[in-house]
Amino acid sequence: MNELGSLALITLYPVTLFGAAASFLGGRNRRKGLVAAGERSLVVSFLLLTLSVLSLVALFLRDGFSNAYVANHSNIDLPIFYKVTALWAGQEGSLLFWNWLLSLYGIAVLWSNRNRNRDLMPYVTAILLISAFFFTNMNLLAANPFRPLVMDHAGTPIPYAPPDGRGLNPLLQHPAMVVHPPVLYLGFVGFVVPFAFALAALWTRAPGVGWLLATRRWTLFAWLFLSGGILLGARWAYVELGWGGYWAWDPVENASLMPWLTGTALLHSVIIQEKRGMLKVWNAVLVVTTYLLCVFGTFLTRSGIVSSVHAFAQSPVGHYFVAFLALGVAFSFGLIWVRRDYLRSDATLDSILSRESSFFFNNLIFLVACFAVLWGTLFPVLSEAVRGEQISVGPPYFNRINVPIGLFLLFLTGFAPLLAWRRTSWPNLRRSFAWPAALMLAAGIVLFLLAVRARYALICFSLSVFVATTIVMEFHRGGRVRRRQLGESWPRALANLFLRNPRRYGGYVVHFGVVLLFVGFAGSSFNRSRAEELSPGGEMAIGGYTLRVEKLEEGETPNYDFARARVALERGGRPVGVYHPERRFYFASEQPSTEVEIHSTVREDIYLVYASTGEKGGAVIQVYRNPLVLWVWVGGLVFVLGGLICLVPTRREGSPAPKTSESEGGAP
Amino acid sequence: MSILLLLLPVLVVAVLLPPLFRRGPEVGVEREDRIAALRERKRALLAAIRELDFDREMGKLSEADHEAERERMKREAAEILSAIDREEARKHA
Repeated sequence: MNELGSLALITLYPVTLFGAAASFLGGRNRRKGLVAAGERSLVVSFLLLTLSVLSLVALFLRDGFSNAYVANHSNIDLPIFYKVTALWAGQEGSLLFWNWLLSLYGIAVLWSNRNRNRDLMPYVTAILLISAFFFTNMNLLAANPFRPLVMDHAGTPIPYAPPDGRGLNPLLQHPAMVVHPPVLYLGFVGFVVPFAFALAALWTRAPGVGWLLATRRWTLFAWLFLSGGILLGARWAYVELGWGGYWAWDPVENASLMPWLTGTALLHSVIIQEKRGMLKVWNAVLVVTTYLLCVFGTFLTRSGIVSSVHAFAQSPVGHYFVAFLALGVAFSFGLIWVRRDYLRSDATLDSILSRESSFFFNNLIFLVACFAVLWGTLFPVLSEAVRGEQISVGPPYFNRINVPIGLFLLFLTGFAPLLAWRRTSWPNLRRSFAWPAALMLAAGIVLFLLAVRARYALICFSLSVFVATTIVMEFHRGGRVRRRQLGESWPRALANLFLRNPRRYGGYVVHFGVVLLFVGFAGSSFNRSRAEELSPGGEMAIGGYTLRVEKLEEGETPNYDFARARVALERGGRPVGVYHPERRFYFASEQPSTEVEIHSTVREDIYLVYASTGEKGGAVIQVYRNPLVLWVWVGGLVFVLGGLICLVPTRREGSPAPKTSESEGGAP
Repeated sequence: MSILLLLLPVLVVAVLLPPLFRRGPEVGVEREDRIAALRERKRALLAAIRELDFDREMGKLSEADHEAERERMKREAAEILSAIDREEARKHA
């Protein structure tokens, strides 16, 4: 299996190069044969990478410890489930998996464009194959997952297969970690599609916004997976890392947030290009920046230049990433510069009080947020380069900068959709905003009277009421129009709003998810925690709850041993549940791990950690009271649901259209 | 296994090389793409007009702004339809 996987990778190397060259030349000289050879190369790349991936998975399942990667990330007693997912547990395997996903996207793009965008496809294929070449290069030269394990025998390296492997990192032995990396990678890698189409359109000076419309769904798809990946990562951090939080502004978390910020900006600004033919340069820059930030984020994770709980070890792959990024930046931005005449706007801004200007403003804020995160993430590296010592800025910096930015974006989430395209008159604005503003004010006053004094939390809750009201009003007004025009019932009118314009109304659902997320984020202003050593019968109180340790137990499984506490939780004298926080020690990797227990309600989470065994032989229980965390997870689900609605194809030609005064008019 | 290892590169070459011997340029690709781009633009424009009408019904924009923008969009749609007709005529010429 080792040889087969390795040979597939080696064969892939010339295939990607050949395919990229054939595609480019075929597109340039309009040679059918070359274009077909390039497209076949993409298919062959996918098959070869599938062979490599399956070979590595087979090695894991067969405990092939003669392979260094398998020996370092698995052991005999590891559950089969985790043996399969150990594929992406380390540097080499995850890069191979990334490359495989890239080729999977390639196949999907090839298939969906077999009869469309034929002028662009040779260049799209070439760019996808160049990306694949870059990752193959790294997999062969710097992070080979098929490297045999060798031991030094009197100066001679000889193949060696240990009786058991070193095991999988305990932190990765969690269901969320099974799903989180593929989902996140699907997001990261997915942005290669709009990137490839944008460069192809620039290169060929493709007419109109065809490329933008062709990639709209791909961009949304990638963004949705990136969002899902970030949320799953937060969930994993919350339930697995045992520090009571879900976001720590860790460099690797930031690495996924940066392309998400620019990708979100892009999703808004492409609408302006579609509708008004404006912001073409801006969109081209955003497409390129988003994909390169995805690669940059991977570079941060892989190269070891910043330290993080999630990062892979120090590795030579950093040089390859730097080279790829430098070439990517130079070529992409160079092309945008050379084609600036092609990117001239078709229209100009009519009014500052319009949907276009508010979207553009939201774009600027997203970019400012991205830059703030980038600056804070790279500050340790920059400070070391300038002053010779690493200075980390930490969560206080990120919160100080990003909390006001986030609140402003929350305001725009409610403000922008109420504006009309081109211009909004003041009377219309007053009519649209009267209710949301009044309810926002009322909510602020009520919360203040209820002794909510945390400034940002108070603003956040009030703004959430404002945005939620604007969303409800949008649905109400839209439904009312359909009822008036078409005589539909309320449920039918609301359902048709989604069906006739899924992007707009799915977008509102996403915005509602954002509101719920922000309510959850604001809850962290009121977090409390305490830790105590408790023996059986010992009690501790926090935020109206009392927890009592009923029993301490120890045990062993083939994979780890554990110390566990049985904790009864009460609120106001009434029992609310029994929980079992646990501390484990994994034999193969010789690493400890905590298994937290969480009592979760709409109001708050009580988060229990078996921190350690105390000096008196009791359990040191760390307990956190985290208000409104459930709102984050529910908000995340609503957010993803909204994104999925946006992906639903619009009902248009061929589907029954509502009766209107003119053929092309009427309700969307 | 060793036979499979030997066969793999041979198989890859056998799959990749035959298209190179195909002759002839891609015919009409550019025009098809141009027509497809125009049709996509037309669809986007019609959707934008529907949304504009809807915004007026919702009370988001004044009658005057609605009329001005609708006229502009209709003009653009008419130009696109003419462009599609021209391209189709050239294609069949």
